[in-house]
Amino acid sequence: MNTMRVPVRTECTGLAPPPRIGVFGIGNLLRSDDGFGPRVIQEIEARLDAPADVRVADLGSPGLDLASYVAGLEVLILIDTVILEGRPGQLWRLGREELLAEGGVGARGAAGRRLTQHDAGFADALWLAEASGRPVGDVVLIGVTPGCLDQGLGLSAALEAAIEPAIAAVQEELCRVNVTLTPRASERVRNIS
Amino acid sequence: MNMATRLTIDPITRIEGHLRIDVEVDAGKVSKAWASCTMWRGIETILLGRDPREAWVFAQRFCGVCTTVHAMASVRAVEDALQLEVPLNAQYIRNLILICHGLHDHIVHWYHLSALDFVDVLKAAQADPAKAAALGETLSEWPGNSKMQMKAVQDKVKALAASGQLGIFANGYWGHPAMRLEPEVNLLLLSHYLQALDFQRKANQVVAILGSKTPHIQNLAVGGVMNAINPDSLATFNMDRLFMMKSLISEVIAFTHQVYFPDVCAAAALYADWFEHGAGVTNYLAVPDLPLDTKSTQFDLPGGVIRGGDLSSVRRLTGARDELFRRNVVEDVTHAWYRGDNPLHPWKGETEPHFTDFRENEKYTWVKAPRFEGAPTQVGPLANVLVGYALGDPLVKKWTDLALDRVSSLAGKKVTIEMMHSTMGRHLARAIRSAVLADLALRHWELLHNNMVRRDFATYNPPKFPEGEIEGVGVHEAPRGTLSHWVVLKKGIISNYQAVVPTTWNASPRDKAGVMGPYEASLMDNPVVDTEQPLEVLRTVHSFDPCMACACHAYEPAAKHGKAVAIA
Repeated sequence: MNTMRVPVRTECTGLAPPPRIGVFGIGNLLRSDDGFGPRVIQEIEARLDAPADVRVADLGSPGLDLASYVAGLEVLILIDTVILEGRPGQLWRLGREELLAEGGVGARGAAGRRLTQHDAGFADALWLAEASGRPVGDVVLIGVTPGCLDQGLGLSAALEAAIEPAIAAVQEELCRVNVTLTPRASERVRNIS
Repeated sequence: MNMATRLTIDPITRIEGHLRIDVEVDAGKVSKAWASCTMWRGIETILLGRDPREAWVFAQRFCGVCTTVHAMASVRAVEDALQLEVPLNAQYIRNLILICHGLHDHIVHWYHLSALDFVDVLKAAQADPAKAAALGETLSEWPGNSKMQMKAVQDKVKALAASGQLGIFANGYWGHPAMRLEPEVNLLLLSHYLQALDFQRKANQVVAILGSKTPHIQNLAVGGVMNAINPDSLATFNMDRLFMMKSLISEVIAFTHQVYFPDVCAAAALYADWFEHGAGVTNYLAVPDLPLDTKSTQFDLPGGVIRGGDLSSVRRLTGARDELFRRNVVEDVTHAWYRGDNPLHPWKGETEPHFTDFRENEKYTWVKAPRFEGAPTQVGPLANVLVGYALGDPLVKKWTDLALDRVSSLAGKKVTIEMMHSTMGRHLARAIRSAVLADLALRHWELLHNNMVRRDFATYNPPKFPEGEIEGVGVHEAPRGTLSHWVVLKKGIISNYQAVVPTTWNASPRDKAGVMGPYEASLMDNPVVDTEQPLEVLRTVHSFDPCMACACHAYEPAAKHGKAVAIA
């Protein structure tokens, strides 16, 4: 890999108008299958173009910082690993209700009781956005059951095979709000592979 | 006979694990303490055998929140090994990124991650909004303190309380006897908590303009930055972007100087007793940062070492090449889950796991024990501020004296620089450092601007790798303190890589001699009035801004009875 080829792209620089829809991959590329979200985003960025009001981004594991990326979005689509029993590579769709359910992510890491402050949950980020006056509209998580979460680069075969179905699931969600990601004439270079 | 109560605060609900604190409380005070990181942290091994030019791309995934700082330390480590100069534009662009990342991080830490240790959200419901607004006016000229604003925030809290769903405010220690602020102060600080989201985002936007994306900036390279500078081109970094950045920076500066700094001064005065707890380890280390020349020998933030809390003992660090720093860092693994007997220098460092379970007298954590000149050492904004103050840095001195005067006059008692060795001292130091960084943001913007006006557009010196073995260290005074990446290169390939991160210094376990690390030592004699609600322990631990292991993440919804729909 050559670090010199990294283009400085203007659409991510804050100069563009604020997005209406966010498609965000969450997870860590250095922990095997935890990198699923970022890998799906990498594929989308390489092959598909998004309309100007849709922001597609790999957010890594942003903790509470997620709030500032999602605040004010009409539609939020997240792609991440979920600890749900199933075969590795099994895809799931979770709506706002499931995500914020008692005993779910919402119950975890609530303010005040956290010992390490950066492990704030997804629900905390949603609440913070809302309390700050910029609530998030529709929320969907496209989740995948991971196989291996050990330190290491690259997805297991089962999760690699789930990338295309996950992109299709994202397209389906976008379709509900009359948005499509369209194929690019030529592929962009992938960042980490 | 008094029986000590053992408390284990271990909020693990997610697979990755993180910080666990064990304390024994005897007669209302902590008598023993252990800090344990419950996640394996040897992620550097992923870099072995790789091209050093791409190491930073992976290094910035070490942590989910502080991505930028690892990228920066990594390129600096390789540049140090090559003794490669970095063009001025690249230094200024990097400095602006680091300053704005730091401001973003400190604002988030105080408001979103710590303030609710001191602010009782529910009490804000009883406040008189007019009085809260009037109080705000006495603290600063900030326009966001109107009675209408206070009323709107209060209505929000009342609605949340009435609905029984407190959301992000659920599970706080509301009504705890150690929560002592008047309703109006609670309302004012809560209102700023809600405004802070916008301003930390603006700071991050500056990082995005220069780095092309956050998180995970894209513009670094070993030897400089990849930003194309041309004031006459629409497609590159030009005057338009420069001035857009300035307006964002100005907004962040206003929030820092008019809201964050005065708020922490006020909280420090109203909780002045927290200047009496949490000193712990008073050996301090800060590395110089914000380089002003291509060889990184002159800096805007001074670095140095202080021993035993004695400011007159300060020794200046002249940069990453200073032997005082390069030769005196070792890591001890006596009480950490790794193999090895003797403390090792990071260039010789080994990371071979040896997990045993939590055994308080043997091995009990994944964090190694870094030692400077053999002693445990505290890093972070407090170290940064004390070193700058001791060395007589004018900007650090200006803001520190201002803070101490303000706190003293609000508290009605003299608060001195010696009282900074404490839990509240760490919060106040972070606010002082932010005020300093805010001043420096504009200065580095001007340096970049003036260089562009002089039509110097250089941003990159290409690296050339020798055949033999070379060593380098990249240092960065990150928001949580001194970060160093240590690299060994053989034939242009990485043969060893060790990251000694700020939290490793502070969350360090005991060493071979049984001497406690900074978190552990700071908890000794910490008051705990109610062992069921150990708010005071959290206050002290949070004052360090712990960040253990954001590096892995997976959602764990209410799995058993989840209503998730299988889709493929």
